[in-house]
Amino acid sequence: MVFSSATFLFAFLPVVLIGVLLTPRAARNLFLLFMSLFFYAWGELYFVALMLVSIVMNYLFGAAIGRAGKGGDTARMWLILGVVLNLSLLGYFKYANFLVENWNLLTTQLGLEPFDHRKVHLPLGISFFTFQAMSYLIDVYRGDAEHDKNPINIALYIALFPQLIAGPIIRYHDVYQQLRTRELSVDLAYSGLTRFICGLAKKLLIANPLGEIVDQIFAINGNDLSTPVAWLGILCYSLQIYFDFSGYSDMAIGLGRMLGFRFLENFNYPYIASSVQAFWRRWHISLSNWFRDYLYIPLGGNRVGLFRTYCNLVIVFFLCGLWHGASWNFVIWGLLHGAFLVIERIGFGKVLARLPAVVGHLYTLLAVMIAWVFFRAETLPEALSYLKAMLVPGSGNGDLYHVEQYLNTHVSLVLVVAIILATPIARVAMNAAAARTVIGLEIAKTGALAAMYFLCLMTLAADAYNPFIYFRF
Amino acid sequence: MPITLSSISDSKVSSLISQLVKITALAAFLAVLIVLPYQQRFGNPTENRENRELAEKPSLPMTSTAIMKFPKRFSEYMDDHFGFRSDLLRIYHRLLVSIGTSP
Repeated sequence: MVFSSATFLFAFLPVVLIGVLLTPRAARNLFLLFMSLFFYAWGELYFVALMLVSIVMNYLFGAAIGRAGKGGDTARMWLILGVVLNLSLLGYFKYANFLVENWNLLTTQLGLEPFDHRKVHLPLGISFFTFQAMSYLIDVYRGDAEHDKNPINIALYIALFPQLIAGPIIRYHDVYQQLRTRELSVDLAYSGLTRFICGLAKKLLIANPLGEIVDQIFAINGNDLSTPVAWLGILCYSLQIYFDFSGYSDMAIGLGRMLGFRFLENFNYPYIASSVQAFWRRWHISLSNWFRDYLYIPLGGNRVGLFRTYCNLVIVFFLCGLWHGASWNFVIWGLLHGAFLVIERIGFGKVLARLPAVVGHLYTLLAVMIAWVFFRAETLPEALSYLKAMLVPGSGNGDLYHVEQYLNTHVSLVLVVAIILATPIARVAMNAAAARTVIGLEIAKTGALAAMYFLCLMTLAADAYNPFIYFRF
Repeated sequence: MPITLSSISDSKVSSLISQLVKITALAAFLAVLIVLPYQQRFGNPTENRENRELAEKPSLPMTSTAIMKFPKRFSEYMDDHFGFRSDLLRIYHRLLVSIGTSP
């Protein structure tokens, strides 16, 4: 169920909000769990069983690790077994097809029989909830959080609907106390409502119209793609993916607050970063935190000598790419980011710091946009021909498609607003207004919110184009 | 001189107004969520000006194939039939035309 759909807004959400208000505090988690499983079943009817298996398995392993005590050998054994099982589930459902396809490619080249195999269905959100489940086991093993004896709380942690399908990935130690006790309050719910509507607007008013342009441009044959059109396409995609995904995160954080949860932020204006390293402290923060806490630091992080540090970075970003999807394009995307980070560590970062700030910003935007080509293109040859069109002026026949035919007033307006909102300008202006506040600011803000919500409902009425990019992962 | 937040931060009035605005906003949001799906059931069913058939209301699923298809069919029905949809659609198209974009 997509948050920006009539079914979610007018059927599911009212039941959840009213239900939470009416349910006695002791039964709230059970109610939310039931609704979360229903939410999942709406998209993946039979795979709710898989989610239940994951919940039971992780509850039992968490209990075993907790009983064995922090850091001991027995706890370590349970942890390894639990992590291996979680990774096996993820590996089978997400990577089996990819492995078999590549294996068959290899064997047919060698003249051997290909491996016969039925396509495995990729259940929604499996990358997200498996990573959360592993966070539970590792945090309990490290003593960063206690294991929870109440299975409802663990089930809710894994299945909670706002962040179930596309994150943010919440580490267990950040949320375990909230699973036990949390307060509903008008202030928190209102700030949640604000975030939710902002997220809805990011998705419906910005990401979707840009997405239509992106789809049209990426469908053009590489030979017919002129350099300006290729740059327009990747500019639109860079903004689309940011507003799509950060919009989803805003909605998840907002829904969480309406239910009494306080989730950590997932984005912090990534496109104003002045290095790729800084970009990763601002983009999909919950994923980079996960990789840092549970992979990069256990590998030794940057305390194991220069060469090992570089290797660790490459390993982390190789896996980060692979996490996004079982395809070589995602792997290349991840490795590109890893390579930029290594280059910055080798000394380019210091050079950048000495140059005017604008150079760092331009380099980062360029690096990130080039990498996005691999993320967006369906296949490797497509990505390469797109890159060629971007970087070699005149490589494509520019007679058929022109920038002007995509930039009507509506799209131009959306692009300008998107570029402004990708920077903190609006927030700074808002804070400045709040500092010398006139009493009506709250009312004005609420009015603006209502207007935004109205616009969202209008686009929802008109919308045929509404997929979330991060649902695929 | 405008009344600044700092000068009235102790005043109960400002926090009361703020709470009132927030509660009203929350209640209005919830009310819209609840009312919109039912508007067409009680009001006049709005005519279909679109050049396509709108989705029909799915019946309760009784077989396993029907259960599998139900979420999609129900979503299509909701997308096509939430309250004031055709009015919202009309305003949206007018808005697009007013900025020189054909819908």
